[in-house]
Amino acid sequence: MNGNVEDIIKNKQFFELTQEELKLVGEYVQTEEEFDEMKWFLLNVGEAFAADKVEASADLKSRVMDRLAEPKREKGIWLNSVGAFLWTKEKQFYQQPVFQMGLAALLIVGFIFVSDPFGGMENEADLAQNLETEQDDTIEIKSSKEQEVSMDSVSSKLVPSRDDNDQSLALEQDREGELSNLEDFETTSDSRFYRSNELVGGVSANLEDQKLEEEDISGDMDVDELEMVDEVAPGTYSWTIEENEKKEKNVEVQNAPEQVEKVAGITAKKESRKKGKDKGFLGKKNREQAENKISTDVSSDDKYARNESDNQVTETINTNSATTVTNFDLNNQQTIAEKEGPMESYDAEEITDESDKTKFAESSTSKDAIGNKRDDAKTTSISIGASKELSSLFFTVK
Amino acid sequence: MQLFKKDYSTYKDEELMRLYVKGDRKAFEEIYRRYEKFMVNFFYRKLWNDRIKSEDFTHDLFAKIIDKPESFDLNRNFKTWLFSVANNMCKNEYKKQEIRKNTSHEVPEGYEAKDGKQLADKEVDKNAFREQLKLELGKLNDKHREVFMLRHYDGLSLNEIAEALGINPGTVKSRLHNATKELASKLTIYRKTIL
Repeated sequence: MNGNVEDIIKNKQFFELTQEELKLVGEYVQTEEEFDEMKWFLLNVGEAFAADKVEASADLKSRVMDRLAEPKREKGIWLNSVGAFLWTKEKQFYQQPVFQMGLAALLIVGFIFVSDPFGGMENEADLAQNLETEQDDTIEIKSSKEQEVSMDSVSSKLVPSRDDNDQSLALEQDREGELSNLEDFETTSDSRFYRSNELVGGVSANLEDQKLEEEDISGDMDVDELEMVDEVAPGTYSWTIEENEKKEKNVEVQNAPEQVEKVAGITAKKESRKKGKDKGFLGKKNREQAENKISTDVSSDDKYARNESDNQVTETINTNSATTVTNFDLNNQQTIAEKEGPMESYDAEEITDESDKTKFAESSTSKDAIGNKRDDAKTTSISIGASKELSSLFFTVK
Repeated sequence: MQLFKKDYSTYKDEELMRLYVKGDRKAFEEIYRRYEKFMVNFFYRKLWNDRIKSEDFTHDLFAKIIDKPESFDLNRNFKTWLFSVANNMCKNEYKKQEIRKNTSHEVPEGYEAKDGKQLADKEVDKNAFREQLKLELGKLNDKHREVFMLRHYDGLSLNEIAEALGINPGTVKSRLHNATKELASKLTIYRKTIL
């Protein structure tokens, strides 16, 4: 609009203006005099500016057109320069840098293949790999060992040893040593075996204490034997069931005959061992003696009974060799009375010398001691399943 | 053959740019032909009447269009876009030279007689008028002066000025009106001598 006003003022005279144009130019001028002054000013300004304008030189146009004719410049021009360096046009083929550099690379690679300056490195690398493998095996042994130790420590907590403080102290030291290295493992295994027989085997184990200590059991460990979790040796059973009853009341009474049947099966297995088919932890001679003892202690005729009234639990274990009756007060968590019957057929055949008799007496004492420990076992509330307990004890007897 | 030749002079600026973006060099040549003088004089006026500098800036401006034609928004007015780009180039140059406030550069500097002959009285009066015009333009507010120069020196319409400067057309009209009235009142004294 304003441009139109200026154009009107420049191109027309005041008397030529229409009413609409007069309204438009009224913003600038009101009278004819002012209209003429404005017209003169605008015309002279235009002339003044036109006189000041310059013409573009021909050089500018040629420069711009040259720029227009240039191919589009792309980024990464340095790659072109590298290419120009490697493939020089002016030089012969054998003089070009790319050819010479490739030839030099071939010579270096060929020299390496022929002379094999790093040949010894391969063997060293292999040796390093072997070392790592050995270390891994060691770690695995330790880890499995730690698991065995943990099981053993649990059984030791549930079934306290009857021996004196010196032996328990020695066992603790051995237990610490088990985690240290593989060499200690053998010693610890002997100790654990020794202690387990004391705890579980009762009479038969005590007869073989000294001999068992001298035997190396680490090399005779058999995987099949370790997996036989529920098959408990007879000597172990008579005490283990009783102890688990004390720890957890969830063990059913009907388990007893089944366990006895399994024990009979174990006895048959162990008889086959007598024929020299298998190597156990025990020496051949020692194993025969121990198994004879077990077969006389517990058989399929053994009976186990449990009567539970309001406040009392009466447990009766009837074996060939002894009858044990235990009354347990549930309210006070105490053993009211415990009786042990006579050893009818044992002393005549098995216990021949005085030292064995002494050990048998000690084992009976340890049985009493275990019975008296019921309260402790209950109050500590160690919730280890009966099968786990049985498995650990079975392992140690074997 | 002549029948199939495009008459680029009939195309609008935006259409020419669209053709150039597609690779039509002739379209760019037409654009250059249209705006070469405009741009040279614009830079000449804005950059202290330095002819070499104005041509260099004009070259750089068209080089930008050659290298990056896609930088132009095809929906915009090409003329105003071109002037706004040129104006930004001048501002950058001002920052470089740190002479932004030197208003004397906004108006074309004086010029010498081409033939060096004795000027006639009328020519003397015109030169006096030009000198007085420059003086009065220098006294104007920057915003008013810029609008006035774009309108009367560069020949842009009000809307084009508004778009090039990024301001409201009403503001442009107001500024132009004030600048014109003030300059006219001060330069009227030369009317009797020149006319």
